[in-house]
Amino acid sequence: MVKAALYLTIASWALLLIGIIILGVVARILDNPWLLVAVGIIIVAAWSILVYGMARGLATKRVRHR
Amino acid sequence: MELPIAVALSTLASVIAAYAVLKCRCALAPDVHKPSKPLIPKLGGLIILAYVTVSLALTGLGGLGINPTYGMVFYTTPIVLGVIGLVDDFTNVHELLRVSASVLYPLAVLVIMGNFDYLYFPIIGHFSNPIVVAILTIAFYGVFSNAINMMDVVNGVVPYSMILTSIIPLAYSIMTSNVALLQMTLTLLVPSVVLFALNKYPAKLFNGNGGTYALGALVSGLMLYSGLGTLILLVMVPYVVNGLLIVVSSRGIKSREKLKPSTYMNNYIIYPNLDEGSTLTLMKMIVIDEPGDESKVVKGFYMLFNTVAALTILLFIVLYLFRWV
Repeated sequence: MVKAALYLTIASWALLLIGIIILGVVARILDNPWLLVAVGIIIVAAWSILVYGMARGLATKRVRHR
Repeated sequence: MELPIAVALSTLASVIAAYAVLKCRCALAPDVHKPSKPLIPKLGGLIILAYVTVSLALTGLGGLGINPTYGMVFYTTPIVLGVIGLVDDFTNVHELLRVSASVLYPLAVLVIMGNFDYLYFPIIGHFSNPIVVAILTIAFYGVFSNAINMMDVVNGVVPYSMILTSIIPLAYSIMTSNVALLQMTLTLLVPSVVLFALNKYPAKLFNGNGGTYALGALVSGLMLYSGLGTLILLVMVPYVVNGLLIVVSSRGIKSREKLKPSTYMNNYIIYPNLDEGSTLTLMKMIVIDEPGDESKVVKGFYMLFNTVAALTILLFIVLYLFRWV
């Protein structure tokens, strides 16, 4: 029943973990809090675009199936 | 005061609050997903407020074992936001005022009390710059106190997810004998268990805005000050996704009444609203494959939270074994 929601949630979890790992690597390389904040904002923005796009795509696909 | 006594008395206070709310039967709201539309009290926030207030009064900020500024933010923000939520349960508080309070109150405490300490997030590292600490505080309190409110659409989901969120900090505080973290975790866990007993499907009590704002503030504080923020954030992914979908699809922060419904009901079966411009939510994503009654939707939400909690616990075990937490 919850295939679309489960897929979206697991993909969002995995993408967020990837973003956190990237942030962790950047933190160790840059050692500058402001650059880290900037990279963090970019990662959050990219994550939001991907997750919203995925949700729209899944919803549209399911509606076409119905 | 010793932690077990403080926890026992605070638990007793929250149970008494629950009993009083059920007996009083004030601030009633219809449970629209049930055929008989029973009237349910929506003052679950009093359970959280009773626990946090008694716990803080018994131990005091000095007895918490954490930075006093962070202790003040952690324990008083749920009280302030919980009271605003309770007022909102009786008379509508403008959404911008609610969002501003969730951001400005913790920021004001930080600025007035000063004495910033570093924040630690597993995998990412330490943040010691005061302005960065302030930005993170605003972001976490602003997002999560409102994101939890947005998810409170069916019985039991919010307190259930709070219980799951408490598992990792509870285990870590016991493994490392960290009494301050244990107390912070129990402040989220114990009232959530009491609330879950009454809010689980079919609900005898609603969380209300008081309950969801107070829980949102508690979980935000736990993310910031537990040293396990990254892992707690990962358990909270369904909230972040739901909040993102609502804010983007409805083009801004709007009150629940102003949103174009994401679902509709026919014979107590919940269907996705496929109209152009309807709000996209996690609940809509749950029923888009197969419409179902409220109990099925609740089970769908439980499955999502169980999955992310299980994945995050596995990640926690790996990080713990490699000494990265």
